[in-house]
Parts: sequence; structure tokens; C-alpha cells
Amino acid sequence: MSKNNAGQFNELATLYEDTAHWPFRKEIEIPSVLQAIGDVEGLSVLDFGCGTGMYSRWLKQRGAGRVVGYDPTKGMLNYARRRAEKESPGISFVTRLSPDLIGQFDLVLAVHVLQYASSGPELQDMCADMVGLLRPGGRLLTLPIHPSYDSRRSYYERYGLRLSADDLQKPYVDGGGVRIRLCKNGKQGSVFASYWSAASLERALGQGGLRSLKWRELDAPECAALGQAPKELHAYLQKPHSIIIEGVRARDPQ
Amino acid sequence: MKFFPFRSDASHAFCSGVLQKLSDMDEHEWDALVSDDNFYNSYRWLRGLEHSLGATDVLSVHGSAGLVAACTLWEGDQSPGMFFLPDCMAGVPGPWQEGFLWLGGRRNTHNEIPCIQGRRRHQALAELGRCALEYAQQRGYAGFVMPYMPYQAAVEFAYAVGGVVVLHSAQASLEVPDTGLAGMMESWRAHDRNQTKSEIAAFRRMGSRVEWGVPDELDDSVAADLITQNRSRYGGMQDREWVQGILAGQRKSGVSYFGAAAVSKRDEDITALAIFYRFGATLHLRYFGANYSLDLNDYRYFVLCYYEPLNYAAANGLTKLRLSTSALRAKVNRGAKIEPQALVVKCADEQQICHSEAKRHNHRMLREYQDEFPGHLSWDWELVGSHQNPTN
Repeated sequence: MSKNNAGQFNELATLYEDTAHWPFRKEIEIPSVLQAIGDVEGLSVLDFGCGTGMYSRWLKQRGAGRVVGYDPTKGMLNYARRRAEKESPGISFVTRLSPDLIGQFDLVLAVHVLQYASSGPELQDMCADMVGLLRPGGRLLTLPIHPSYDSRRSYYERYGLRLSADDLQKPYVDGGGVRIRLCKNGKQGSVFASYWSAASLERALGQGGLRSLKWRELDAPECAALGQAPKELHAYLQKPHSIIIEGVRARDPQ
Repeated sequence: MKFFPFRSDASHAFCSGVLQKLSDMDEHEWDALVSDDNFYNSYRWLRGLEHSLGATDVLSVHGSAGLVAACTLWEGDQSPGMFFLPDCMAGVPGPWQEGFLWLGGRRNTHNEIPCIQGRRRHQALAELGRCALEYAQQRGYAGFVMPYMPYQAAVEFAYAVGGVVVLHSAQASLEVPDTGLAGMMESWRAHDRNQTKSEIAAFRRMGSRVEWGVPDELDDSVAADLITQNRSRYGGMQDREWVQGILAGQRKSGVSYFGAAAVSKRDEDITALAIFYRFGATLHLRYFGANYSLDLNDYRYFVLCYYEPLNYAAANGLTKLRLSTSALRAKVNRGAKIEPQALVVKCADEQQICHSEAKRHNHRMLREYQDEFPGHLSWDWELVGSHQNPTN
């Protein structure tokens, strides 16, 4: 992530942490991600772009072994450190990826990160970094902007979220700017992101060394069917703004 | 949960205000602005003070996404000592006998403004300074001060608020080697190594041992008694009940969760203790207490405050040991570096402080420390030298 892209998060730590309680994350994204991750007992985990460290804390609390949170944004990482030392001690938070982290992790999680690659080469580098942190056979789970997100500005507003493509006529162009705004409970913040198509994401992850790619739509794991989910979440579930991609790092050739 | 309409970008301006107590703020939001070194402005430390000494006003600056800068307020001490402005400003002409608003935690010997990182940090500090000056003027103070700031933090804050930096203290700290005391001793001269070995040997010879625990396991009345004995010996005015109240406040605020107590015992008798706090990668020494009715020459102060915590810090992944502002010579002799501490002062009447006098004072203080602690000064003294040359 470029320095400019990282810097835009410096003031957003508390607001970002608050989003964990917003229904589209609390009822849909977070349980979907935790379900996709499964048992983490004893696993070494790197939370790539950890932000306030919420997933790092939860994974540590669920029995993960070594947990490292990486985020280049000092403001986010300060929140992460302060909160984790009270609630989930033993997580290490870093602002840069040092060479000794390469190939060390069973699981790399990257939630809402790939959209902050602002160019094709940067997307490629970011994917290579994520995959390179995995031991051979290790898993990557990442949540980019959904390639088929609803580009109408107002679509996600009821969820406290607004996605505005720079070019409303062509919202699904690779590298196209998307402004993401968060607004709820009197707090508001916005960041600039980039749209990446499914093909671009698959290509970048594949070139980074990820194999067996799977796409998983977000759902409400507590509900057996869409119809059983709370009514106010239906619109989000029909067009979630994010999606899970997972895969494994290819085992090195013998 | 309330839903507010999306607003325009014009809402990105700051909004400042005064709260009457810290508990009106969210702990995590506050602490997100607190760096590893700024433990004494962390939420639980300040809440501990509130529980013990009563609430004080809090200045806060909010951006559209939440808190961007904040600090607690108090009035300093009204009698000579470390928190008496005429003493802090000795050597710099000015209206220091008048009332000033003090920024930071009460009786803190390390202060930084809890503030966001990034491109709007300067603006956030400036807004906090503007708000502090307005608060001071409305209540008849002659201005505001923030004491015991690391030099660089003081320069940054002074630049943001149009204040003046005045050196007034120094603090000791140790970088903790991975191998703790053994690693530290490797870097020492043979004389210093031998001295440390003989002090530790004397401690053991006297039948003393160290036990580490958490402050919650200590009997507050015993701890307060030992701490008060030490403070009285060096001119402290607070009595045992005061110290006990402080410890009780810490217990209530939860800050003792970060605590670690090194206790020196002979048989089952506690002969001394040192209380530390872990915060980020730093271990902060805050209290030392001893039973001086026992005439022991067992170096318990050095064992508890330097040697043992180096091993404790290394074993717990901590990289820095902060040793506060007193007894600098003894600390330097055991490997500590001395860091400059400055006060930022902003007078309501700009004419009341002479910038060149402050620079002369700072330069004089720099020379004194250079003369007294050659080879033991941290690198930011060089910044003092480049900033504070009176001829610049």
C-alpha cells in the first residue's frame, strides 16, 4: 500500500473499530470470515492490513498461536496495540514486513486491503507479499471490493456505507477510483480505493503463487436461508460490497 | 443505533470542547492517541488519578471520525517542588508566580499530548493549544504550560501552538538488550561490571531475594508505607494515606493490570519494593519503597530498580526501561542514557516571556548536562544544541 493510501486511515481508527458493530459487518462479514477461516487452534496467523487489530484479537482469543498484525498506518496500529495489550496480549503489531516473516504463516488474512492497491503493479506486489508470507500449503483469505458490487451511491447507505465510483458511467474498470465513506452515529470518514475486476484479482493472486482459488459470497451464517436473515440485511445480502477469495500457497517444487 | 445523513466534506473541520471528567471519554478512543512512551497520559493511569484525587477538566478536539487530540488539566502545585512553576522556570524571567493552567496528568514526569498521527497532526495540536489558551484566559490564568515533555515532542507542540520551549528536567532510560542484564554488562567497562556483580552478591549475601508479582497481590498499606518512607527520606510531603489512596485508585481504574512489582524479601519480611508498569514495549519504573528501619546495606534499590527489571523486561519482550527523573548519576553509572525534558509555555500576554532568554537558559542547561554527563546523553541533546544556540 502506498504511503498516501496508508496515511488516509490515520484518523479513522475508532470509526473503523465501530464498524464491527454495524449490522452488515456484525451479522454478515465477520461471521462469514470466521466461518471460512475455521479452527485456528495453534496456527500462526498474519493479519495483513490489520487496522485496529479486531480480527487479530479474535483469532488470538480463538486459540491461534503466533499472531502478527501488519498495518503501515501508525494511527491504526496505535489503536491495535493499545487495545490488544488489554484484551489479547501476545499479539505483535508491525508497521513493515521484515524478511524474517516470509514463509512463516499458516494463514494470512487480508480484510478490506486489496482495494487500496492503486495500480496494477501495486496490486501484483501486494498479492505477492501476502502469498509470500505463507508457508507452502498455507491459506490466504482476502476480502476485496466485490467485483459486482452495486454501484448506485445510495445502495449501501442504510448500512452506514457509501461507495462512489469516480466514473459513475464506468464503475467496473480496473484501477478505477472508488470513494468509500463510512457514516453512522454522528461519525464520518472516507477513504479512496480502487476497483479490481475478478480477472485482475485472480491474475494477481495467481502470479503471486496462490493456487486453488475459491470465491465465497458473504452470507449470514446464523441464518439457514436469506429469507431468515433480518429483513434490513436483505439488500446487503443480495449485493454484498465485499467477497471472500481464498486459496493456498503452492508447495515449492521438489 | 442512530443513523445520520452523509455530510459534505466541509464537516472535516475540528470541533473542540471541555469535558468535566475523563470517564465521559471512550477508553479505546483515548488510548488510540497514546504512544508507548506516553503511559502517564493513558486512560487508565489518568482514571486512577481521578479516582484518587478527584476529576479534572479534559480538553478534547474531535474530527469528523472521532477524537484527534486531548489532554487532562490541572493547576500544578502551589508549594516548591517538581510541579511548582517558579521552580521549573528558575533562570527564565517571567510571571511564574501567577496562576498557570497545567496540561497533562497530575504530577506526571513524562507528558506528551495524546494526538493523531499523520498529515493533520499539526492542525490538531494547534487546535488543542488554541482551546487551552481560551480556557486559560476565561478562567484568569496567565497562560498554560505542559511540563516534562520529551524535547522533540515539546518542540513540535510549541511550534503548533506558538509557545516557548524551556528545558527544565531530564529523565533516564535504558535500551534493554535481548539478554537483559548480562547483555547490558557486556557493554560496560570492567569496573562497572565488577561493581554490579559485587552489589548483587552483597544483596544475596544478606539473605535477600527478589520475587516478582502483580501490584494487585500487594497489601496496599504495606506498599504505601514503604513508598512513603522513601519519599520522606528525599523530601516528599505526601503521607502514607495519600500514597495508599493513589494505589487504591489505580486498582479501581484497572491500570494495575499493567503493573509488575519487584519485591525484596529476607525470610518472609518485605524489605523493599519497586512498582513498574508495562506499556507497549516499554517498562516504566514509578515507585520505589523501602523499610529504612532495617539497616541493610544490601543494594536493594539498585537490584530492584536496575538489575532485576532488565532481566524482567528482556524476558517479557520489552525493549526500553524508563527510569524517571531522579538520581540521574546513579542511573548513568548503571548504563542509562539521559534524555532532555522541556516545558512548553504559552502566555496569554505574549510580551511576558522573552524568547532569547529562554534560548539562553536552554543553552546553559545543555552545557551543564554536557559537563556533568559526557557520553551519557541521548542524541536529542544534539537537537537542543542546534535549536537553542542563542546566536541563531
